[in-house]
Amino acid sequence: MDDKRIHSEKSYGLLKSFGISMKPTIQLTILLLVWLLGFFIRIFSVIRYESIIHEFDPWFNYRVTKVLVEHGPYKFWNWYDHESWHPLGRPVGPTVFPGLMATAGLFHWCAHMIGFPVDIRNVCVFIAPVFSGFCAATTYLFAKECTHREGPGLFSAIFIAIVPSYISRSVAGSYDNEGVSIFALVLVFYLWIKAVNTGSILWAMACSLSYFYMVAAWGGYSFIINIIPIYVLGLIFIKKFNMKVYIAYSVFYAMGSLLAMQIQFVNLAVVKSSEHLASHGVFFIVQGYVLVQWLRQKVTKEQFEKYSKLILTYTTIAFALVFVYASLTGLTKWSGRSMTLLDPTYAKKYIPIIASVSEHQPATWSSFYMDVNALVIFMPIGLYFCYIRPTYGMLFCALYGVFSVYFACVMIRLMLVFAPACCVLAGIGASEVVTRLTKSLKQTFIEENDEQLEPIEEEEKEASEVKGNKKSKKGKKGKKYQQKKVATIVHKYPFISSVVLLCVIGYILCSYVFHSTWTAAEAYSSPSIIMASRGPTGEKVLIDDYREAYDWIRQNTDPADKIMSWWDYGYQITGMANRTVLADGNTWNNTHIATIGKAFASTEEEGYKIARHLDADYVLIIFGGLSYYSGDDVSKFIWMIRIAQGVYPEIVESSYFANGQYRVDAQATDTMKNSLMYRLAYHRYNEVRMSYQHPAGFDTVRNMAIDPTPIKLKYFTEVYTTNRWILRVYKVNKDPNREDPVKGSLI
Amino acid sequence: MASKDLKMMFGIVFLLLIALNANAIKNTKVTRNVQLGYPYYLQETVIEFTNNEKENIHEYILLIDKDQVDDLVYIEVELNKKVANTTRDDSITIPTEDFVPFKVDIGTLSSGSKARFIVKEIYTNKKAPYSTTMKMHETPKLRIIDDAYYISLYETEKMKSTFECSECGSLKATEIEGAEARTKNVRYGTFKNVQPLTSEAIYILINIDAPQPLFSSVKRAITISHWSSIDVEEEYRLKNNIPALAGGFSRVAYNPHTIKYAVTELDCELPVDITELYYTDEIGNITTSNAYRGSENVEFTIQPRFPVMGGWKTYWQQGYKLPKDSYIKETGNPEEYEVSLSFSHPYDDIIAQDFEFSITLPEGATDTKIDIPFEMQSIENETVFRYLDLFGRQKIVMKRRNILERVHDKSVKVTYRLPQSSHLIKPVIVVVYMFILLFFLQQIWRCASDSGSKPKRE
Repeated sequence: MDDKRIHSEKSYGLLKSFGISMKPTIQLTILLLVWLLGFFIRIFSVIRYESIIHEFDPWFNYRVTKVLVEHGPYKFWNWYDHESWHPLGRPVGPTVFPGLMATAGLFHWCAHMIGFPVDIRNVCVFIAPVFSGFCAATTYLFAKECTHREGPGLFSAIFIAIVPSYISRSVAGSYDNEGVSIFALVLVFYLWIKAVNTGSILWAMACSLSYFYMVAAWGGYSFIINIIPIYVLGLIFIKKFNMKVYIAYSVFYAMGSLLAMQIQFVNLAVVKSSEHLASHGVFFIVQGYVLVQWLRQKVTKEQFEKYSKLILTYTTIAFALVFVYASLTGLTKWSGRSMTLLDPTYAKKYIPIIASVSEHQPATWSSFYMDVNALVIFMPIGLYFCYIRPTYGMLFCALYGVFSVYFACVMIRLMLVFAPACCVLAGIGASEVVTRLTKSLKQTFIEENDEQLEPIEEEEKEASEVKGNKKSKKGKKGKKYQQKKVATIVHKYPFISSVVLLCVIGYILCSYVFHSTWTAAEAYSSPSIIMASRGPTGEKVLIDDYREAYDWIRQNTDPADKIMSWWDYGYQITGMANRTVLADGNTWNNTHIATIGKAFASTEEEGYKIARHLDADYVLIIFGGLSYYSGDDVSKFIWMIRIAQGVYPEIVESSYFANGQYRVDAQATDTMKNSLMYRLAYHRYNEVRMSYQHPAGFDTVRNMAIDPTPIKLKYFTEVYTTNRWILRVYKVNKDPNREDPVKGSLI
Repeated sequence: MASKDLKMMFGIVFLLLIALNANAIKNTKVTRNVQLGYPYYLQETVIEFTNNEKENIHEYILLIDKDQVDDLVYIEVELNKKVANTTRDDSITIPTEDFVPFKVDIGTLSSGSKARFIVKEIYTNKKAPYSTTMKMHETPKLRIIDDAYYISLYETEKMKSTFECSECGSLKATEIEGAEARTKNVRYGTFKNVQPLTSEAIYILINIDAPQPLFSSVKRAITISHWSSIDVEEEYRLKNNIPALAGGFSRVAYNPHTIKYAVTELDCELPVDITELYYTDEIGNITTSNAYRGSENVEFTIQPRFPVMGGWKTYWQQGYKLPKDSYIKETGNPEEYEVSLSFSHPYDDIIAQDFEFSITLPEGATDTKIDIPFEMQSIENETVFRYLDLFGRQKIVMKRRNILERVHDKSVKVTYRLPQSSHLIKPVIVVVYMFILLFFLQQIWRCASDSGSKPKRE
C-alpha cells in the first residue's frame, strides 16, 4: 500500500515537473492556436463569398485608404472629397478617425518594403482578422495582469478570439474602425492595469500611447476616458487610492489628453466636450485628494477638519457653478449619441436620424445570448470572484463589466465594448471553477493531505495587495513564492459532482465553440452586398444585384453625374460606382438628408423639383418587393418621412398611414401613392406576376398586392433595373417639355 | 460624286497610267464577296489577271482606301494555295492620294501568262450604327458605306460585287445600274471593261437582331515565374456597337429570348491545363461564369453583370495560371529558356481595337529575344516589382491596333537566359527574413523576461 503510494507520488512528481518545465511552451502553443483560431474563424466570409469589402462604412474606409496609399498622408490629410455630399463636399482629413486607414496603409507599406506587393484591398479585407489575433493575445495579458494567473488569461483569450459579438464586426472584409479598436481598447486597459499595479511612469506612458491609438481609431475612446476616471474615483471612495494609482492616472490624463488633441477630428473636443469632463474633474479631485493627504500629515487633526470642510464646500459649489454655466451657455455639449447612452429615449424623441440606425437600437436579451452565448453563464461567476478577491485588476474588470453591460443594453452597437469585459470576466469565472474542480479531483487521486492549506490564504494574500501597499516588493515576492509551494489544494468536492460539473462545463464550452463557429459561418459572414440563398434544388444562389447596378452606373453614366439615393447607400455608390452622391453614412448634415427624404416623400413633381435643385442626374432606390428583401427603401421610407418631418413641417407622417397602418396596396393613402418613393419603387411593378398563386404586383415584403393603377412617370425615366429588381436606377429628365433628340441617351 | 466629274477624273487618271506604264497588268475577272453578318466586315475578292508586259513581273499592287487603312484588321493574299507576302509600301507612286498601295509578292509571272489569287480583308468600324439611338423594342439598324466597284489600279474586264448578310432581317442598298437586290443580299455587276480607279459610292442599310460586340481595349499580361507558374491576366473593355438605347430600360420589357441584340454571354476556349481561373472586375468577383474542362481545352462562358444593350459598355478582368513545366522549355543552350504563348485574346469574333500584350520575365533574366509574328506599333521595356524582388523584373509591353483572334491566333516566342544562381535569391531572402524575425523575437523575449515588471507569480 505504502509502496504503491510512493510510486504514484513519484510518477506524479515527474509528471508535475515535466508539466512545470513545459508550461511556457504549452502556454505559447495555446496562445498561437488561439490566434490562428481567431484568424481563421473570420475567414468564412472569404471562403463562402469572396475577398470583398463588406457593408456600408467599410467602403468609405477603403476608399479613404486607397487615397492614403496612392497619394500619401499629406494629400489624405488635406483631402476635400467632392464626390460626397454634393454640392457641399466634405473635408475628409478632419472628419475621420484615421487610425484604421493609417494602420492599413502601414501594413501595405511594410509589405511592399519587404517585397510583398500585396493589393491594398486584401490588406483592408484581412486587417480585422489579424487584429483579432492581436486582441486575443492582449486579452490574455490583460486577464493575466488582473488576476496574476495564466488560467483566466488563456480562457479569456480563447473566449474573445471566437466571441460572436466581436466576430460580427471583424470578419474578413469588415474593414471598420471596430476591427482594430477593440484590440486598442483591451491594450489600453492592459497597460492601465499594468501602470496601476507597478506605479511606473513608463507603463503609464505606454498606456497613454495606446490610448492615442484608440482615439485615432474609434469614437468609442470616450468609453475609456470615462471609465478610467470613474475607476480612480471609485478607488478614492473605497479608500484604496495610493500613489501608484496617482502616478498612473496623472501621467495618463496629462499625456493622453494632449495626444488625443493631436487627432484632427477630436482636437479641442478634449476640453470642450462633456464626454471628457469626468477625466478633467477626476484629475483635479485626485490632485486635491493627494494635497489633502499631504496636508493631513503636516497639520493637526482639528485644523485639518476645519480646512477640509471649507475646501470641500467651496470646490463643490465651484464645480456645480462651472458645470451649470457650461451646460447653459452651451460651452460644453453632449453629443447626440452620448445623450442616447445616458437617456435611451433621447434619440427617439429628438434625433430620428440616430434612432433610424438599427445598430443604435437597445439590445434585447436574445441578442445578448446570440452575441456572447455561454459567456453569460460564466460572467457572473467571474464577477463574483472579482468582488471576493478585489485586486486592482479585478476591481477594474468588475467595473468595466458592470458599465459595459449598461451601455450594451442601451445601444446594440456597444455590445462590442461589452464583449471583452464579458470574455475576461467569464475567463476568470471559468478558470476559477475549473481550477477548483480539477484540484479537487487531483486530490482524490493523490492524497497530499499533509501539504493541505486553505486556499483562502492565497486569496487573502492577493487581496492584501489592495489593502496594504506598504509592503516591499521583495517581501511580497518572497512570500508569494513560499505561498505557492504550499498552496496546492483547495476544497475537496465529492468526486462524482466534480466530474459531472466538469463535464457540464466542458459541454457548455463546446457548445460555445459550436455556436461561435455557426455565427461566424452563417450569421455574420455575409458581406450584405452579396446575398446567398438556396435555389429550388438546394444549390447555392448568389444574389448580386447591388454590384450589378453599381457596375452599370460605373460603366454607363458620365463620371460627372450625381446620384441621389437614401444616405445608406452613399458610401457604396462612391466606392463601387465611383460617382458623386448627395448624402452618405457620415450623417453630418441633417438638413441635407431631410431634403432628400422630402424629395422621396413628396409628389413626383415636387420630388423632381428638389432633385433638380440638388443637381441630381440619377435616382437610385432599393426595392425588395420581388425578392423577399426586407431591408429596402420602402421599409425605410417611414424613417425618411420622420427625418424630413423634423425639418419640413409640411411633411406629415400620419398622412402616409391608412388608418394607422403602413400600407402599399389599393387602400394606401393618396399621399403615399403619389409619393416619389412609391412611384419609383412600384413603377411597372403591377405588370409583374410572380406565380399563379400571387396576384399581379404582389409585394412579398409587405405581403400585399400593390395598387393596380399603372404608374406613368413624367419626370423620371427608368434606365436600369437589376435582375431581381432590388436596385432601380432612374434618370432625372432634364427638361420634360422639350423633345431632345438624344433624350435618354446614356452616352 | 457626279458622273461628269468622275469621267473627267478617269481621263486624267488614264493618262497618268499610260505615263506610268501601269497597265502592264490587266484584270480578267474580279469577284468580290462581302459578308456583313459577322461583328466585323469581311471581304473576299478573287482576282484573275494577265501579264501584258513583255518582261516578267513580280508584284501586284492592291489599293486600300486611305480613310480605312487604320481600320484594316487583316489582309491576306492567297496565291496558289499559299499565302503571298503582302506589305504596305508607301514608296510606290500611284496616281491618286486617296489610296494606300499594298504590294503583293507574286513570284515571277512571265509575259502573257495568267494568275489568280484571293484577297481576304477584314475591317472594323465599317459597320456603324445607322441612327444614334433606338428604342428597346426596335431592331438595331446598321449602315455600311461602300463602293459598288472593287477599286483597282488596273483595268478590269469583268467585275462583280456581292454583299451578303444571311443573319440580317432585311438589307437595303443604293440602287444603281446593274444592281440586283434581294432580301438578304445585293449584287453589283457584272460590270465590263472597268477602267482603273472606277468607283461609285453605295450605301447599305441592314437590320440585324444580333449584338455587335467590340473590344475598345484589351490588355493581355503574362508573368513568367520559375517558382510558381505562368500567370495570364486579361482586361477587357467591351461595347455594343449598335444604336444607343433611348427612352429607358425596363425589366418588364426585357426578355433575353426576345431581345437578342444585347450582349448577354460570351464564350471562349482556354488552354486545357489552366488552373485558378477567375473572372472579376474592379468591384470584385462576377458570379456569372461557367467553365468546363474538355479533352482539348477549357470552355469558358461568361456573362457580364448586366445585359450590354446598345451603346452600353462593360469592363472585366479574367485570368488563369498555366503550369510552368509544360510551358517553360529549355532550349538546349545552357541556362536558356523559351516560352511560347498565344498572342491574341481568346474571343473568336470580337475585334480588339487597342490591344496591349505584355510579358514579364523572371527576375534576373537577360538576353531576351522576342519573336512576334506581327508588326507591332510600339514595343517598350519597363521594370516592375513583384513578390520578393530586389532589382525588379523586365516587362516588355507591345501595342497594336485591331486584333482578331480568328486571324491573329499565332504564338509569341520569348527566349531568355536565366542564371542558375538567380533561382536561389528568393529562398535566401526568405531565410534572411526568418532570421531577422526570430532575432527580434528573441530580443523582445529577453527584454521582457529581464524586466522586473513581468508577473511575478511563476
